[in-house]
Amino acid sequence: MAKSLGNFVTIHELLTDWGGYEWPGEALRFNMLKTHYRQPLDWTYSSLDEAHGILWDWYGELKEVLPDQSIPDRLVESLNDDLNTPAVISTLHELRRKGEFRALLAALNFLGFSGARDKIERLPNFNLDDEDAVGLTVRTMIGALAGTAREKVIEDFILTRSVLRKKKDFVRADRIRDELAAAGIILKDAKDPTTGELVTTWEVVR
Amino acid sequence: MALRLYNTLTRKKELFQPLDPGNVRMYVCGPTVYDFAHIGNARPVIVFDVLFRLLRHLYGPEHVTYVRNITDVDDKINARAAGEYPDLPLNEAISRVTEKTEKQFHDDVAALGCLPPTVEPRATDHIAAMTVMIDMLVKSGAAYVAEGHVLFHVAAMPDYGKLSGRSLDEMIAGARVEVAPYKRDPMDFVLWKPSKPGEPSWPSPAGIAAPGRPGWHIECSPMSWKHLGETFDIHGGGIDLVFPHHENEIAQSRSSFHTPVMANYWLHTASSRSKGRRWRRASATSSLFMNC
Repeated sequence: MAKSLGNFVTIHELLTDWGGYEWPGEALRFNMLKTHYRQPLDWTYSSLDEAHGILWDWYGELKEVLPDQSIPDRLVESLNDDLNTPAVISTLHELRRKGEFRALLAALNFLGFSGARDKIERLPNFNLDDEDAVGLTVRTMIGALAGTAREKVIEDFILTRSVLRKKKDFVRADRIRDELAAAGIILKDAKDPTTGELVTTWEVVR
Repeated sequence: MALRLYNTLTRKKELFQPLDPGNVRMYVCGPTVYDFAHIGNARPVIVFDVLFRLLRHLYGPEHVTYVRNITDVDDKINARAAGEYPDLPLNEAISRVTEKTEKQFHDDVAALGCLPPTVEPRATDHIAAMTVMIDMLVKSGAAYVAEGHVLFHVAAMPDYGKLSGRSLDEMIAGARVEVAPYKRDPMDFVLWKPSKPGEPSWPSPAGIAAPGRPGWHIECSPMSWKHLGETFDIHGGGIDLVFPHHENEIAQSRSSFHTPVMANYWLHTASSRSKGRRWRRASATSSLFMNC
């Protein structure tokens, strides 16, 4: 495989540290398949971000779902047409719209996607051991953004904190909470009365 | 609708008809293991994984053989090894580089959700098959020996260039053909070359006394031969490999076995590029997000 200019983003880099995130492999795979294989591919942040957002939305609907035993005919037909993956993805969107979640999960599994949110958690990449770095990252990311992009980043920090809490790494989890508070974002933890899981909400205090 | 694939060889979307539906065979050029895989490397790996999954669905998982090689002998690897581990003997340094890179590649493609191929042959495990093939090519007159090298004589194959659709003149003008005194013709390419002391080396074919090593193009032909046979169904790779690599693979395999094709369907993934800017930790806010 030849190495050429403009092709330089490595998979390792994307998985560990690209644009401030550790990207899940499934988001990379989905982003790759959005473009038909005979079309040149432009790898951009916004496209990858969108790919991750779509999977995150779908997987959220698939939590309690069991996949169909067979895959939808339309999926096979699109693939039979010279691997028409953009058409495949349109079919997946349609299944989501119609609420055909068992078919959606079967199709995703067939294409190499887990359908499980814990496999596609997108964690902000920063040095959690370095207090100054955490503070700088939180302040920079939150300060530079507005609207839904800002909300998404806050959700990502909350996710990182909950992953750390599950690992019983409360020192670093609290560090994220405190830095968010310093940036004017207050977190509130509550137990979901049915599942007993910890649910975190947030509000802006200034 | 039955499976239709765009065939670079005919420049048409064609109905896919395997030689043997009981054993559908696909070969895809894998990594030369000296550096991290980038998105351009990952694209064919993901695309042909989707095709592998589709073929398994259509023909049954046990009726599909997918071969993707690991190229672990190459001058780029040697250069990287010498640079990275200057204090180690070269062969030891090479093992370090290839083992590390191979592991990284496997970790990457597993994260990308790709199934392992049926067979993942390594070039260094197929040196004997390479020398057998080179002997066959020399014997049939398609290749010749010159100054410790074995070269494929492109003029011996009238329809060379069919895959890329280039004439010989265009290829000479467009390619960086290495002019060397031992070549009969500038287009001729190296099948085997002598190794300097300390470089990886194996017993040479074609009656050459000094040990040597394979050229880059020869490696895929014996690996596909050994695991898929003289002729098989699908050969895949990135578009950048059409010329000269796949053209040379075809020349080697067809001239060895006197077959009209090496594989019936040639599939190529288009190029990839990244426009996004990297964000460095603790950088200024202005460069925080990718400018697309």
